[in-house]
Amino acid sequence: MTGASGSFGRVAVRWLAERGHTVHAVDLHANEGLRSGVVLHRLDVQKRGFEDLVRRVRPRAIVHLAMVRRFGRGAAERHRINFEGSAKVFDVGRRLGVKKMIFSSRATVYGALPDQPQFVTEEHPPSAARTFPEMSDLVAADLYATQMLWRHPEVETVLLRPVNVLGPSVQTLLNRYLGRGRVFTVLGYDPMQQVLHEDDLGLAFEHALTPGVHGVFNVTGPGEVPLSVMIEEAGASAVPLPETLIAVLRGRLGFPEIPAGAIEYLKYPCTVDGARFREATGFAPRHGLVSTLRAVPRRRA
Amino acid sequence: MGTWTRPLRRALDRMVDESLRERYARLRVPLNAYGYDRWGASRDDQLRTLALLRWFHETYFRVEAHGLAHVPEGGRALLVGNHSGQLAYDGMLVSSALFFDKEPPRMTRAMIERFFIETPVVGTLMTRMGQLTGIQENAERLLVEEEALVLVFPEGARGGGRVWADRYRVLGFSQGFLRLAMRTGAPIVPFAFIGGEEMCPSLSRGEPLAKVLGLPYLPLVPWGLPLPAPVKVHIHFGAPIRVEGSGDEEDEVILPEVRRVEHAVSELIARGLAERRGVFL
Repeated sequence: MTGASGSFGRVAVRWLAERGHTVHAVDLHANEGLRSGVVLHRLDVQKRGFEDLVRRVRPRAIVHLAMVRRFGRGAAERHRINFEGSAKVFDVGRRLGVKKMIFSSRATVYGALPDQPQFVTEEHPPSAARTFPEMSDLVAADLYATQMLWRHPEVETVLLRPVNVLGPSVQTLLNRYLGRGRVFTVLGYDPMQQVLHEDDLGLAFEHALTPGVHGVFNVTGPGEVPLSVMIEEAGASAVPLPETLIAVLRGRLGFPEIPAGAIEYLKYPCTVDGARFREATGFAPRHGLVSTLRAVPRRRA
Repeated sequence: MGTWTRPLRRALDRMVDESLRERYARLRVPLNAYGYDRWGASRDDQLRTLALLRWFHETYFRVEAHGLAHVPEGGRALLVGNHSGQLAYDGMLVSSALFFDKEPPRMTRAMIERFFIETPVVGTLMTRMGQLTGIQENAERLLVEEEALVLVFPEGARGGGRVWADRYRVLGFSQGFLRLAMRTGAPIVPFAFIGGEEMCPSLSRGEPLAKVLGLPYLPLVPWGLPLPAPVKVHIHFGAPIRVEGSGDEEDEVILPEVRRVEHAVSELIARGLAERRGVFL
């Protein structure tokens, strides 16, 4: 598993190791709290050492999670890691005969666009870059993984596009947003949001490992609620601001430095249809709506 | 929706009585633990809207619905009718008629213009009331997965923003609804909305200025704001029309069927106008 120290990586390593899998955790950064069944490898997936590792351990599957999602990092670095890194990992795995490759994208690649169907299926083009150009490297990596399905049908490729993952281990933009005591919202908008508990993300990875499973899958959790309910359940309080004011305040006066395109996700829903994954694998989230929404560490304003 | 609307919400909550709650429960809207359905409709906001709508329905517009038996008691169906009134008052009154006058009551899901969904506050309110963006996939999912009653005005903004000179004329239906009916096997229930032209007449669509302001149209209403006059409203539902096909046929196959539905709506309009005793009676 590449990117094993990241948000999704920590969740997936823990879940799979607890269920008896031997996980070779690959990451450039330190991995605190190792557990039994986990072997740590501190290396760069784009360097020679990664290939040597795959040759040596002959993994049953590669789970590729080494992606940079923070927008503070430069576009060139993001492109190198997210797009070129994904291509490199796939190439290594394919040449060395790895049977299954699991990539993790996000449902956000579809974009929060008002002219989109409310429940987007996997057939829909990932259009996030229309209003959010900073996402283009993530969209490219996502599309790269999907084309491997027909270019290399001998490899079981799985591309997961989970909805917003909530939980104490994940440090996504949304979790950081909800973790603040007071959060701004866009005045007059309250889009529907889908959520998935981090344990259910682990479960989704487990299902993706099932032999025979391959394809592109949206992964949805127990349901949808408006953003305002999500904020309330996270223990934060919403401060609705006019859109024009948010554009000015962005990155100033203690306001988070978020790209302009991210604000669209506070205006329009980016909700998806998760039926295909449920039907293909029998996946059923174990956490209900209330327990998922309350999985964000609460911090009263 | 924010603390600033709390007094208004409280006032409307006082208008929600037991009979309304009971009737609403019969709709069996699939709500989650927070009282929302998956599209974003909210039980509390729907009840508040219905409480307000009840007064408009019974007292202000004195709505009379004819041929309600043509609307199926359950199962998918597409309601297709003439659009007027500048601000979708017709859509609201069709849904109130199906809620208050139909047995058992039915919830109507209207396909609305994207412009309204993109407008702050308005879009959120529409969503909470159970309406959604008029996109084929949304309508198809509602019909197939939820056996919903979907309301479509195939004249779109041309009908909504129509001028007085075009009153009670079917302005040409777009074909999306027909392909939708074919794809889903949903019967089309035509209806005529009588009273919409007089409640909020417009002399001009104000097109050049509307374009500058980014609006679909800017109605020129004699009394200024596009607020409705207390005319008497009649809604005439007609016999369901069934269309056969896959929905992927050429225009030559689709268009005659569209004309057939337009014709049915025109006939219902003619009947409604002939039977009406007066604009306010």
